[in-house]
Amino acid sequence: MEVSVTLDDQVAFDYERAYERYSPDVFRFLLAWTNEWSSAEDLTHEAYLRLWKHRTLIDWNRPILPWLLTTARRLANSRFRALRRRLAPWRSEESSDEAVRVRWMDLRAALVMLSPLERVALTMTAVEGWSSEQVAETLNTSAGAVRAAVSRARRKLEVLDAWLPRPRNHR
Amino acid sequence: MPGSRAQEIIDEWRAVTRVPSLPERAPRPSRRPVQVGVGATALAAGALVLVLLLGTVSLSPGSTGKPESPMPTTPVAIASASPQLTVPPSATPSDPPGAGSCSADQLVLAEATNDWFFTTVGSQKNGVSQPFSNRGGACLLVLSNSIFVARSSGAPIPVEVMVVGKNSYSLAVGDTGSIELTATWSTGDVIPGQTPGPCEGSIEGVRSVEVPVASGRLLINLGTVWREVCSSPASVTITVKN
Repeated sequence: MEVSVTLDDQVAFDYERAYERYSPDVFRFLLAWTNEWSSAEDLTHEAYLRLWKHRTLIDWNRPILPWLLTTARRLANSRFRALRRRLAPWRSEESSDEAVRVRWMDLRAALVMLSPLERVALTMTAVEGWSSEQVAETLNTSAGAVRAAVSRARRKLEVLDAWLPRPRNHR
Repeated sequence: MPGSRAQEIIDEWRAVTRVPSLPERAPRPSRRPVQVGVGATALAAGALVLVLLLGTVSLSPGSTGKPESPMPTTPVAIASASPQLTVPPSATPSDPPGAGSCSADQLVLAEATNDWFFTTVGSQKNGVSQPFSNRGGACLLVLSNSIFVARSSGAPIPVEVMVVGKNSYSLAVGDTGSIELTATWSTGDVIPGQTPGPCEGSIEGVRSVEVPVASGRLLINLGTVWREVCSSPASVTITVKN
């Protein structure tokens, strides 16, 4: 049986694969950047809709994650600006289940004292294994600034003992 | 620094954010449910003519992908199994049924098999395989992005489907293959950190599917009941195996 494929088929396939492979990464990046679970979910959705919108312009042979992360950061910044203008409250964290929500609220309370740069720099390097250069490229800053942010973030978190409940052993 | 407060928080981050919280399916812009009728057909035909007149679908200067794209863009490479494109660009998601050249009469169907069920928290999937044999002349089988689904009673209802992989297949005389359908529906369970996706044009209790071909439709009796089919976003996928 002779088989042929259309451009739309291939692009749709690449898009689905990009979602399967990278949506958790995009979500965690946005979670670090916004410190808001539901916003990170929404913005991940929006970032992929942008990817779909531009699917015929993208070079799918190149790594797609940097494009997604840069788009995600810009979307998040746009949302922050819009929210500041309207003084609208953040949505509640209703989209996670109770156990996750409680753990996340504690974690969020700890991380709220960090700047978005510090949160992203710390979590992406310490958890996701990114290099300082990779984080810097995504955030349009220097690797030195990222390393400094990681150092500041660690110092800030070390003084939390006085008021933050220690993470429970759920694992 | 193992054992430090910062490290504990990093570990907690790792654990909490590993909880699945995203929809299983990649998002697509919401579309209206498929409509049929003289008005809708005329509108689709008009749009098709406009696209043909314009040649390729061009992008306006303001939508070059630059705002979100620091990455150089180049034309999309087509990873084709054969060098030629046998399906014109018009055979894309919003096409009306009837593309290709295979008729329902020449594709003889065997009994469909209900291949598998897969249940996760919050959703269930079912795969159905419909074998066919080409008893007519060589033809082009094109999978449309809409099929018809039917309950135990009532007329078949058009819904969108997602064509997985290729959407056109050249069939020689005597060729055999199978149409593979997969349906996913929500079971109503709560998934930690996940919200149910939208489901426009929901049709419950689907027992059979009709796949439009160039002339007529292929009737597939599922041998089971699909609890729910969504038209948008599509909850059914279709592909062909040979």
